[in-house]
This record gives sequence, structure tokens and C-alpha cells, in this order.
Amino acid sequence: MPVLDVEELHVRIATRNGPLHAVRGVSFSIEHGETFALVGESGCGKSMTALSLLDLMPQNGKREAKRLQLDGVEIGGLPEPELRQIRGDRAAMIFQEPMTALNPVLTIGEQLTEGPRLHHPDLSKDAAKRRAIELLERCGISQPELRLAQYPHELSGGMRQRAMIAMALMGSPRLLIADEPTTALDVTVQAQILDLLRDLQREFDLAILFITHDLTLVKNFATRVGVMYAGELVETGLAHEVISAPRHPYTSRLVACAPALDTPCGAQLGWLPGIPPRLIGDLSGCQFRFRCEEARTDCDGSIPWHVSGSRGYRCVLESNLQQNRKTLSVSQTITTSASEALLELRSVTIAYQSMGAFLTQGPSFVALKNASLVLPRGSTLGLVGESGSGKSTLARAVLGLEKPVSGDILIGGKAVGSLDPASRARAVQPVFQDPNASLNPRHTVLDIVRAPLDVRGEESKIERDSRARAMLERCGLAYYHFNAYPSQLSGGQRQRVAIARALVSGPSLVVCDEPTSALDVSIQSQILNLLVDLQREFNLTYLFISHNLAVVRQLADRVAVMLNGEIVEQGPADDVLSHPQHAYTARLLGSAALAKV
Amino acid sequence: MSGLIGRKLAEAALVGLIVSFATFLLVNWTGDLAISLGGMQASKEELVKLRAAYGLDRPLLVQYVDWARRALSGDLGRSFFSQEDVLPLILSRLAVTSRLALAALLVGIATAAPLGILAAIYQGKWIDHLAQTIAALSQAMPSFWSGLLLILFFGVNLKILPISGNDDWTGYIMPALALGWFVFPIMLRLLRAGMVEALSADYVRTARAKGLDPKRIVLKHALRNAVLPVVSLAAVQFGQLLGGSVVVEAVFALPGVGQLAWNSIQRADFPVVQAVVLLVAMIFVVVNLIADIINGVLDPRIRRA
Amino acid sequence: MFGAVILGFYIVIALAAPWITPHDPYAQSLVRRLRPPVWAPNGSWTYVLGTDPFGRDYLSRLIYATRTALTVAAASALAAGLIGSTLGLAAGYFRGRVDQVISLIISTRLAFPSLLIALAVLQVAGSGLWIVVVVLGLTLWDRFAVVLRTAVMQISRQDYVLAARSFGSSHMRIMFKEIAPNVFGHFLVVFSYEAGQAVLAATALSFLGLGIQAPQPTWGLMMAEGRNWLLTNPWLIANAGIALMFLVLAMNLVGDGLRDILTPNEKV
Repeated sequence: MPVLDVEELHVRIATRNGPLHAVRGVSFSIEHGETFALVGESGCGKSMTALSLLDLMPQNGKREAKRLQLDGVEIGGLPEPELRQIRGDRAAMIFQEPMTALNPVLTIGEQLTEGPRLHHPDLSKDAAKRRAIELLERCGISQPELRLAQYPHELSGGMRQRAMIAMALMGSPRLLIADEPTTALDVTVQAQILDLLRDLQREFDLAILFITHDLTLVKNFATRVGVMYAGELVETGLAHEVISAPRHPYTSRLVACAPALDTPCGAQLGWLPGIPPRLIGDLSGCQFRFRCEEARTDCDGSIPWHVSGSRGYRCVLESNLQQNRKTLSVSQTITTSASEALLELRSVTIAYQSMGAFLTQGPSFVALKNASLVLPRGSTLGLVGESGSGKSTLARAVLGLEKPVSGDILIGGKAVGSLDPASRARAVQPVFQDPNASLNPRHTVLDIVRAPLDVRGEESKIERDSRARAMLERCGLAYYHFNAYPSQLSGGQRQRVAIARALVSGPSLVVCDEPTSALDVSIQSQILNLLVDLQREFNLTYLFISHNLAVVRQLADRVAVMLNGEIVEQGPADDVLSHPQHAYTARLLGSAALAKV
Repeated sequence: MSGLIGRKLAEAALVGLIVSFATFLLVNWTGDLAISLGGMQASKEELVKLRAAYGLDRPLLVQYVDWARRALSGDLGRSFFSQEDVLPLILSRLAVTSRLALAALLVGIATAAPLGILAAIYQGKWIDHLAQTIAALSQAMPSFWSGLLLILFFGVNLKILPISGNDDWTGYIMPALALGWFVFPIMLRLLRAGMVEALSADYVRTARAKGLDPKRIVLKHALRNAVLPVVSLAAVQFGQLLGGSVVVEAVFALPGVGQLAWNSIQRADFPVVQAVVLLVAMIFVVVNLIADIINGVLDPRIRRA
Repeated sequence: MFGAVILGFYIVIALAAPWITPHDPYAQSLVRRLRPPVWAPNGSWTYVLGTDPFGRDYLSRLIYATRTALTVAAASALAAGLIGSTLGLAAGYFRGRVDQVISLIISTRLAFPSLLIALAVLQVAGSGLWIVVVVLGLTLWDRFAVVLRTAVMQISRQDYVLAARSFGSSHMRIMFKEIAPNVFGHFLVVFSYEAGQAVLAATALSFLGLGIQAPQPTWGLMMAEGRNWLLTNPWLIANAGIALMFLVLAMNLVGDGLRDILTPNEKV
């Protein structure tokens, strides 16, 4: 008997524009000790599915299911008080953001023990405390007695997630629902948390429902996977089979879009245009047909569910046409050896001065220590490291937004600090992570891209306009976007605008600070492909910051690794990524591989 | 925590210094003290003599330092009008106004707390609309006007409360209601907003996933977070009530510090006006300092910082 | 929406005052003192809201007082907005020491009992509409400064400001082109609240007999004049208060509406 058995699950959310059909007839089951992953782009209904199982949707959400059984007991129609007995006791949840998912004003101990003491009134305070200590220790938290009296902000991100997991185990859950539990964590911490979950699964015989957008995580962590699109399951099967030989066109596209550690440098990624549909109104037929290359006329009818062995998929196409990953069009490798250095950092140190009491200086904090780099023209340097390692400080310094305490930053042989604003804009421009925050919401797309030219003020208005238009078109935007405001564009389109704004000044160096981490994988591949094309066309040099090693691997010919404000290793990408010299690089690679291999 | 208190103390001291200097300047700019002392008929020679006698011919900064030194030792001067020492005069009146302000604060919080919580839980429902409508109305009524209406209703029509100037607690009921009516909307909005935010926070979702009951979620998980800013607001409100109760005191003929200040302003009794402004401002600074410290104790994120 | 309609109604009344008032608001008469409003016994349609203790037509005075109230509200809020927004913009954008100094100015301003100061200044400086506007402008700016400081601080951390710096924009261009359009909504919200506060404060001042002087009609003055007749003619106070209440209510509702449009997801 499966731990969780779901058949025909529907979730509808009341919105101003009518009911949003967020989950549409999803069926799956999870056995003891098994991990079932739900994967898909944002808005595909995977989180809503997870929340709806224990009826934790937003207030305007309604759930329906033909069957919803936990351990053979139907819980679909249970009244709220009885459901509360199950939540946290026989089925527990962990969430993405451990900082906000824990109550900031209650101690860890209070938060761990309150649930079990409510579910089991006979459980004494001491017994609950003992169990909390035991579980915290089991989850790899040192000094558990001390932690009980601490507040969430006193723990690191990884520790918080461990505490969160311990909290989930305080009952005796058969089912653990994990909603993107490692997405907000650094890659080394992510690997540790996944390890922990695997161990605990064995020890407590847990069935895990694992929600993620990361295909490579699915492949390595999950037993079986369900791919969701537009609120429906479009493909299920054993995780490694589905990822390595997808049958549904959507899965196949998604897989092709995700760069892997073995993707060669400069390769074109798969192409998945468009965005998922809004789930309001008529939703008959295959919702992927609008983005599908294989779409046929009968795609708008009823779509059969093909089953063979443990696999199933929903498509009019009967055979697995998309078995192979789209062949990677490996282009000529970028030659970098001959060209001169464009960017050079000579033992650059940057410190932040904090403000003390009134008009005095507080302690200073060194964010970048003695960093030295050489970046040849036309090449791409991938800068990797965890949050707080100094990557972004280095980026801001190269952009001339941060003054080094000591050392020199040279672009084309000239110190960045000595350049006047106009020549600095010609030398280096940024592309930032979050396209929502990098475009002024009150300006139109054309105004945004023309602004650098306006500031420079060298050409007539007509010339500026036409140059901005040309660059927007080159970056894949159509004329009808030009007078739109950023809020009217999709995430991918916004990032295209940001890239156009960076390139319109004609810089030789572009600093990309995590330009795709806020984007879904299909959009990420579009943006990465665009960056590769633009680099060839304009002979650009990229300083590419990312926490995603696979992305770096795909784009960069050189890699630098940062740790605690220092560059601990740098060199050609192949060397650094295949034969890491520094222990930290090895650990980083190991973690990425653990999540991947 | 001790670092935080130190910094807040330094800030408070700095604000106090500026406040005292500004008060001193204000009085010096708004009137000629010599004329106030000698009267409008005083001749030029008499004024010169008066200036010399009271040290008013010295540089402003010297006068300030002199005044500040005496103020620190508790000597805030004598009233031109009654020749009494200013400090005891004000302190007795301050007691009345403090009682009134505290009562008003209590009225405001006692009404805003249940309504604010309910409005947040039933966001968008009738009780939310009701609470917000009452808040909008009360915010639009000047407290002296609602005071007059209270007098009309309770004092004149029902005859159950004294209409003015009673020294026992019954004399405080109507003025406290009138001022509390003014505190209520601000408290309500803050508490409601805090609760709405807390109730949609991730940790509340976690609490639900743990199987906690709604009562525990609201009162323990959400309210503990939402109540923190209320402390700061209460302090600010208390300070503002001390200086803002003038009109209500006038309406109810309550012998508080506001009435003293108002009478002194009309009589050009500068030492009293100066001292009232200074004391009220200083109390504001101190009460806010205390609120900061209380918040530091209540909020673990500040306490352990 | 409701708020905007009421506010619009008040503005129309104020603009059209000379043409819609049934009587001269200044014409006194001993014979027709304290006539009751039309709905009371002995009321008449000649003096719809009755007459005041000097025999002047209450409705006409109420209408002219609307003019005064709206002028004071708009001018004081504008003056306060100018002071407060400048300080808030500077503190939020430059941060560091500029912010520390400006924050200190704000703390000092908050510590002062503004009503007492206003009374003292008006007592000495004399009366008049524009003096009231200046005094209110100088005492009501703090919320503009506090709100804009926070908003600007948040916006100047956005990447589009960094991008603008990267392509060489000057501080002025960033403040006015990148930041100002994004905080103008905040300005409008505070403006509508503070306009209401200005009306309330001006009424309190004239209730105490300071600020705008008789015989110019203001709601505060009308209430003060009616105070001695509270027991016998309560409508003298009630009606002026109702006029005042609906204006301030309308201003607050407009502020709420603007705020909801600007931040659809969070009602603060």
C-alpha cells in the first residue's frame, strides 16, 4: 500500500478574472522509502499540488480529489480539526526559505516542541525537549541544547534548514513534503542537506514528495518523477529514465535547455520559446501545443495518456520522437590565447566602512582581499563562489561603483577610477540578476535602452532612437514592445532589455552578475544563447558571475573561484573544473556533482 | 544590546541638546524678554537696565549656556505672571496631563487591539470594512469636536458625567475618550497591517503545516510579531498627547500642562512656555528611548544584535 | 472613489462660493440671531442652516469657510511637502552622514510639541492665512521626510539605479529621472493625509482664537463662537464639525485609494 495515493487532484483558485485552475487532474502515488519529484517551470502547479495535499492552499483556493489517501486512510474529505491532527504529525512539510519559514520571535525549542505537544497532550515538556535535542543532533546541528534557546536569526541558512527538517521529524511522519528545500541555499550546503534527507529517509522509512525546478537534482535525488506543465502531469516515470530519454516534447525541451557539467563551452543550448499559459478559461487540449514544434491539428482534442511499464506520458504523439537531446551545435571554440588583456586587476582590496554612532565610523569590513585577475579580450571569465564570497563586490568594483582601498583595476590599460563617466560607459556595462529590479518600472523599454545615449548626449534624438531600436531588435524584442513598460513584459524579455541597455553604449567588457538565476530554465537557455551570439558578433568580453557551475561551464573559457573575499583559484575552465587545485574548488565541484551525478 | 542602548542614549542626548537650544532660540526670537519684564510702557532706559539686570545684553550663546546650566540643576526660572518657581508649577500640571494621556492611550489600544486583529483575520469581510470605516471617521474628527459632542451627550443629555474640571477620575473619562478616539485609528491601522503581514508570512504557513490550531497561530505566531511596532507607536503617541492635549484641556477645563502653556502664551509668560516646551520634548525623547529599549527586549533580533 | 467624489464636491463648492451662497456671510443682524436650521421647529428655508450668534447666515459662512480650509490644506501640505521631500530625498539617496544629520533633524522635529509651538508663534507673529500656512508647513513636514526617506532608500538600492550610475548618469539625473517618478506616488499619498491634518490643525488653532481672524469665516471660529450656546443651539458646533469631518475623511480616503493603487498587495 502506498504512503500517499492521489487520484484526479484538482485545485481551483478564485481570482478576479475567474477561477484559476492551478492543478488539473493530477494522479500519482508514493511508496515507503521512495522519493517522488514534481518538476516544472514556475507557475506549472507543482507547489500548489504540494500545498493542497494537506489543504494548506491560500484562502481563496479549493481542492477536489477522487482519491487522496495517506497510509490507506482517505483524507480528502476530512474536516479541518481532523486534518490538523495529521499535519505535522503523520505528514510534515519543509519549505524553501528557512529564514522566513521559521518564526523570528520564537525560540527554536519552542517551535520544535509546540506541534508534538499539541498532537500528543500526554507528551511531557521534558520528553518533547529530549526528542528535539536528539533530532537536532541527528540533523547535524552541534550543541543542540544551546540551539533550543536560540532564535532563527542566530543560525546560518544551512542550520536553519536542518532545524526545519528536525521540526518536520518531531511527529512521526510517514510522508515528508519538501517544497524546493535547497533552492535558497549555496551549492555546498545544498549537497549536505540532500545527503541528510537521503539518510533520514532510510532511517525513518520516509516517503518524500520533492518539489523542485532543477532537473539535475531530480535525476540524482528522486526515485520517480512527475513532470508538470500547466497544472497537469505530462510525463511520469523513473527519474533517470525520464531525464535521459524524455518522451513528452515538453520534458525533452526542458532537458535540452538545462546546461550540464559536461556541456562544452560555447555550445548552443536547446530552444524553448514562449511562456506557460495562464490557467483561466478554456483549457481543453494539450496546453503545450502553443510552444511545441511537433504540434499537430489534433493537439486541441483530448490527449491520450500512454503507458508503457513504469512510464507514462500525455501526448498525441505515440512514439518517443524526442528521445535524444537536441544535438548540440558545437561551434568553433573561441580563441583567446593570442589577444591582449582587456581587464586586469592588480591586488585589489575593497573594504566597506560601516557607520558608527552619530557621524563616526564603525568597524570596516573587507569584502575583497588582494584580488588579481587577467582577462583577455573576447574571452569569458566565470566567477564562482557562494553568497557573501565577494563576487558582487568585485563586479561593482570593475564597474567603477566601488573604490578599492588599494590595488588597480585596469580596463584596456586605463584605471577605471580615472575614466570620465562617458568613457567608462564605453569600457564596461552591467547586466544584473533580477530583471524586475534592474529596469525602472516607470520608464518605457525604449527610454530605458536609450538612456545611456541620452546621458552621453553625442547624437541627435533621432539617431539615439534608431540605435536603441536596432539594439532592442538585435536582442530579440519586437517593435511593439518598445513603448511597453517593464511590468508588461515577461522575465526573459526584461532580461533582453537589460542586455540591450548594456550593449547600446558599445562597451568592450560586460559584467553579468547572475544574469539567469532569477529565470526559469527554458528562459535561461534563451538568454545564455543570446549572450553567446552577441559575444561573437560584437567581440565582447564577459565577466560572468554565477553560482551555477554548469552555466559557467557552458559559457566560460576561464574560471576564477572565490572564497571569503579571496580568489583562491583561477585558470582555463577545463583545467579548473576537471583538475581543481584548491580544496574548496574540489568541494564545490563535488557538491555540484553530488547534486548532479 | 548594551551597544544599542548606548547608541540610543547618545542619540537621545543629542536630540535633547538640540531641542533645548531650539527652545531657547524660539523664545528669544518670538519676543523681547525685556519688554515682557518691564511692560509695554517701559522707557528705553528702563529696558536697558532690565537687560543688564537679567543678563539679556550678553551674547546669545552665553545666555544659553547659563540657562542650560540652571535648567540642568532644576531651576527653570520664575513665572513672570505669578512669580512662582516654574518647575513645581509645571510638574503638578504635568501629572494631570500624563494621567489623561495614559488613559487616552489605554482607550485607544483597548479598542484598536481586538478590532485590528479581527479586521486582519477577516480581511476584506464586513468586520474589516467596519473597523476601517470607524478608523477613517475618527481620524477625520478633531478631538475637541468629539469632546464637545461627548459633553452634549453624556454631560447634558444623560447627565451622567461632569462636563468640566472635576479633579476626581470621573473628570478624566470624557477627555480620555475624546483623545483616545484620536489614538484609535492610528493604532488600528498599524496593528491591522502588522497582523495582515504576519498572517501571510511563511512562518504562519509553517505553523499551519505543523497542525496548529487557528487560535494559537493568531495569538502566538502572528500577534507576537505584529505587536512589536505598537510599542514604538504608543511611545510616540504618548509624547504627542502631552503636547497635543491643549485643545481638549481647554474644552473640558482640565488644569493640565496644555492649559498652563496656553494661558502662559496668552500672557507672554515666556519662562513657563519655554519650560513646558522643553519638558514635553524631553519627555518625548525619554519615552521613546524607553520604547526602543523595550523593543530591544521583546524582539530577539535586536536583543542579540 | 467615494473620497474623490466628496473632495471634488468640496472643491466645486469652494470655487463657486460667491455664486451659490444665499446671503452675505458677513452681514450681521441682531434681530435674526440664532435662528435654528430648517429641520428644527421654527426653522425656515430662508436660512437653511440657521444663523449664528451675530445673526449671520450659517450656510453662507460654512461655504466661505470651505474656501479657507481648502486653501490652508493645499498650501500647507505643499509647503510641508517641499521641505519634507527635499530632506527625505537627500537622506535616502546620499545616506551615511547626510542621512544621520537629517534623521537627527527629524527626531528633533518629532520631539517638539508642534501645536504648542504653533500657538506660541502665532501669538507673537500675529494672524493671517499665510502665517498659518507657514507655521503648519514648518510643523507638518516630518511624515513626508520619513516616508520618502525610506522609499528612496529602497529604490536607490535597485539595480536600475546602479545601471544608471554605470552608464554615467549624474546624481541629479538619477534623483529626478530614476528615483523621483517612483516616489511621486508616495508623495501624493502623504500629501492627501497631511492636507487633512492641516485642516484639523488650522481648525484647532482658530478654535482657540489664533490664526485666521474673525470675521473671516473658518470652521474652527464658527465652533468657538457657538461654544457658549452648546446647551441651547448644539447645531452651531455640530454642523461646522460635520463639514470639517467629511472634508478630512475625503482626503484620507483619497490617500487610502492612492496607496492601494500603488501597493496593490500590501495595505499598510
